[in-house]
Amino acid sequence: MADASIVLENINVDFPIYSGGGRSLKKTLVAIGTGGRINRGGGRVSVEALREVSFTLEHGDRLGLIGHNGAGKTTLLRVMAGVYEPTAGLVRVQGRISTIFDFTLGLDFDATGYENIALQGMLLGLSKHDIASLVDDIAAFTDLGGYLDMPIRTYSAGMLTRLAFAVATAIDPEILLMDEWIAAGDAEFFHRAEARLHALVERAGILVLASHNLDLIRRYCNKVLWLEHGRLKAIGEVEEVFQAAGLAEPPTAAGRLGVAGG
Amino acid sequence: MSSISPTVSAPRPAALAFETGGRPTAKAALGDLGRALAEWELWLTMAWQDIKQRYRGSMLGPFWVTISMGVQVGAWSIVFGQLFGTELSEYIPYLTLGSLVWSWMAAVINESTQLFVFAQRYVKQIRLPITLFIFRLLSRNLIVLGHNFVVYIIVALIFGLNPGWRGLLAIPGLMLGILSLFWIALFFGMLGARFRDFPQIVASLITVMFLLTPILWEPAQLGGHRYFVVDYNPVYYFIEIVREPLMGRSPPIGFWKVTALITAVITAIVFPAFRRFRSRIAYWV
Repeated sequence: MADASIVLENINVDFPIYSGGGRSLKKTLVAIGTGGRINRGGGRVSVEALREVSFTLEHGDRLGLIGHNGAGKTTLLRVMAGVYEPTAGLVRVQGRISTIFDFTLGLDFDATGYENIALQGMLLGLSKHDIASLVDDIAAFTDLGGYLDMPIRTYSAGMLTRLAFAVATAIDPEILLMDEWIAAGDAEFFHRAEARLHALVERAGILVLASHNLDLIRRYCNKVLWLEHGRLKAIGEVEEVFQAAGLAEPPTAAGRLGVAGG
Repeated sequence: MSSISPTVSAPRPAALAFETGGRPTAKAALGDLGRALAEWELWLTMAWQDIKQRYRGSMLGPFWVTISMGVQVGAWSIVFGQLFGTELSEYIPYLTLGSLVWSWMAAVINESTQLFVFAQRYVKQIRLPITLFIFRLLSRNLIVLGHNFVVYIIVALIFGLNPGWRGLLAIPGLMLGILSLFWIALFFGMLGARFRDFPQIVASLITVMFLLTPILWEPAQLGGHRYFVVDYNPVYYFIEIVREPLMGRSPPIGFWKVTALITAVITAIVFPAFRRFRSRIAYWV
């Protein structure tokens, strides 16, 4: 199999923003019928979420995405994940992608822990057979024991996190896209989670991590991409880009202080 | 115990590589369909999960729909059988079949208008084919139809109705219905994602259609010049090609032609729309 790669060429993404009658079929039809079009573009405005973004990632690249809230980090991740197809430009992705954006996706709260492992596993692209071979490992990692036979609505928030986290990290992606590092459950679980996540990141051919936490990016990434207002301001060496973005204070000892750039 | 997992790298085949951007192509739209079909295990599981979720906690489970369908048909039979003065052994199976097929089609269409809006968390996070959600919707409602079919079997036993081999003609009838519903659901799903008042518009139209379609009544009862209500009602033809065989009669050949033609027209309208707007759905929801 070819090595994982992500190629973006001149990506533009525009979000349609519908206001007034733009969301209403009735009003839209009336507007057309009455020779409308004058109502300020049919109540349709678009926001430029990404503009002319180009870069290439290859096997071994660990990219940190930085930028203010609304700079386009999440949109860019979704473009790489293939869920947003760009308005202009081309995206070429080679390799199996796994996204960790919201890992509670697809949980059925009335189903048992085991049923949810199967459901989530399938969503991640595993067959029933694969899931059967992974279920013991996942169950062991969650440390939920008999609770796995109970509906997950009886779980505490921490238990839910463990379950979803265990499934999301059991797979073996070639490309791993993450929107913020997962802060998983209680302290005791946190260390095990950290180790598992670390191993997952190590296995992945390409990692893209959007985060406000510079130390996290220093720790896991060997490249940084700085977005501002949907434009790529800089991409390259971690410290160089931090410098360019004016974020170049030395690493803090604590290691996980949220530093929202500025 | 927190050892690094013995991971499998069994990939979702289509997730191995992709290319997006550029002009919308028929190839991309067909590719979506192909990927969705390959994911049959996923949408079947999701469909069953939907059913389980709906009826969890009730002892009868999905057979609860069977009973409510039975009660509904029973109540209607008492009232309308009396009103119309028709022979009950004829009227009740007719009414049962009409209700079965109608409630199936109405549910698919009603649910389709909010399909992508409800699935938005999936649509925005995983690169799943768009048509996968249509397959999930169709299979979920076929499961419900299957449960409702029990009512027909009971009615047929009570009234000694044996459609014989002709009953099998209902299968191609159902297939045509499924094919049409696939495209309609896709179209309505897109419209519902784009226009938020669309679901209400459709819901009220469906209520009207129920009365305008021969389910409670038979076309012959219309009398004279009002036949156009039936003649120009596409739903009627789709119901008839399933209902008639199960009543032990062969639908006229013209009915097959009409339904096949409608299916072809719907496909010809919806496919280009899907090709054009497939990639916009993620932005709309």
